[in-house]
Amino acid sequence: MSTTTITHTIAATDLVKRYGRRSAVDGLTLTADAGVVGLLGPNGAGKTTLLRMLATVLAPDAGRLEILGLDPSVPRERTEARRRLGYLPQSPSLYPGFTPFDLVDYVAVLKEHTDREWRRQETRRVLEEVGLEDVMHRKIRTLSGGMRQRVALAAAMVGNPPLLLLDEPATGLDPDQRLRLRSLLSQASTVVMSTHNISEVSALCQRVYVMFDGRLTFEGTPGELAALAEGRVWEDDRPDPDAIRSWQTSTGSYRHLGDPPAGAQVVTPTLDDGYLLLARRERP
Amino acid sequence: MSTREPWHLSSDQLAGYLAGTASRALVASVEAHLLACERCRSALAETSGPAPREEAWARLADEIDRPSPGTLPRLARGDRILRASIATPTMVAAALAAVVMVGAVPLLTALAAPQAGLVTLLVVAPLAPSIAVALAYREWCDPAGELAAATPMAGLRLVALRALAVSLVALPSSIAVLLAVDAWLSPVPIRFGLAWCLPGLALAALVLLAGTTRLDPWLASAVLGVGWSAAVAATVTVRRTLRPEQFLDGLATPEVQALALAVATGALLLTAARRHTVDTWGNA
Repeated sequence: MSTTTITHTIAATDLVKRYGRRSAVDGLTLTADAGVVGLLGPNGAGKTTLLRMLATVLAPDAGRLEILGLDPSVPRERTEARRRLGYLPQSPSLYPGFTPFDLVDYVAVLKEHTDREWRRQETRRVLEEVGLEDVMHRKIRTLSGGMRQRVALAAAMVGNPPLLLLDEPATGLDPDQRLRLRSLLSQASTVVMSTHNISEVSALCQRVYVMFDGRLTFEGTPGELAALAEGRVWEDDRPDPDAIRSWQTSTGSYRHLGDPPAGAQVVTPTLDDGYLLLARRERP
Repeated sequence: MSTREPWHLSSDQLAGYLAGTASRALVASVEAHLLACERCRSALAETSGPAPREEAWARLADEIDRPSPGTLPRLARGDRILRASIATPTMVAAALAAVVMVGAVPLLTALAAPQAGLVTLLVVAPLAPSIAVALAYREWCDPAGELAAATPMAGLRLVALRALAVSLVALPSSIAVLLAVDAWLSPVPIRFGLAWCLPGLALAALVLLAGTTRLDPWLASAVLGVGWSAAVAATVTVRRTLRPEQFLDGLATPEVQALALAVATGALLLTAARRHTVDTWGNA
């Protein structure tokens, strides 16, 4: 028997979360370490439920969970884990009568930062990081959806936690802000972010986990996800009824996924191809 | 004359102008010259550079953000919690309700019939803290929404702080009413002002305890409120009087006060022991 324990930033084993009879997360096992991990999957795959469990907001019905080497089912360790993680909920509801400064400072209080001067500096720092320095004293109700999203992101990042759990962080961000998000995320040590947008994965993530129906069906780099469709994507100028999927691209030619016929012009697969092939396998 | 080499500002003059040490006459000529001379304007820009300007802006922004010395009483975690507690619509409503209950209602009744007013105060005042506690349990009244659930302050600590914040508003208003009645309407025995405090604490502690169980704190506070009102009404019926002294004889006895203290202490101790059940973890 081995006595060495390998500690991951996140280690989840056979996690289950049920809502009534439906299992939102159904026996999921994963580990995450330094770097940006993208959780990819269709709506309803259980990404949000998983992230809420990782953020210690929701208790799993079964399975084991270890966050930063701590067991969140033990109250004291749960509190300790909360000191060290930042969480961006899906469509965060922020009180509209607060300013971004008020709100982030308040979250810093909740994270037990008692030094007012330090808190003020830190609040300004994170709001500047997300590009909200010009509006930080305006009421949240006057801000756009993308700005509100960035207020919540700033609140998640306050205190520079070693673990960031972000539920759809790029929602409402324009391309420029997405680019900025990328450099922000590269500063954090471990990030787990959910998305249903494949281009975000290739832009932001070093690793990608694909979820279908509460289970993990793929774990690897974005390149490895694309490589799943290696030799199974081809293009020609008309639809192919034998392909698993065929669609017309912007150039007018048809792209096909499946077993290519003899002599077909096989092309390099993209992340989308790998994901679609996986989706087909999971939900025929 | 126009062909003469034009006069330009020396670096000493520019430095003196920038530092604000130049004489008023020199400042006037420097500014007049700068308006006309492109070369000296760029020399000025070079001398001052963007850094001091940025610094000035930063200093100004710093000034604006600097928290004003606290005018509100500071709780253990600074006044942001207090502000956050009573700034949301729910908590504003709670604080207003508390003020109305322990302030306006008895005052109006006292204007109509002084003795009935004091009895009314006796009925409603102890209910105010328990309603404050019930409101503090509503998780949707947090300005940061689910973001707050993943912080170390989440749970009973936050609930207790919020309840305390509302009580801090309600308590002075009840004392003010007593002083007003005493001054203008009829003398109030000092013990009247204190007799309801321990029963009020006991009721609030019971609601706090209810929040650590599956019971709805709202329901608990409603049941306790009805029970308390019934007890006072029963006293009115049995003794056939609205004279406050009659209630005081019953309420201010050492036995009743000791019982209230015992209930409050017991409920608070039990709540402390069960504090970990107040958490979205395991309850959502």
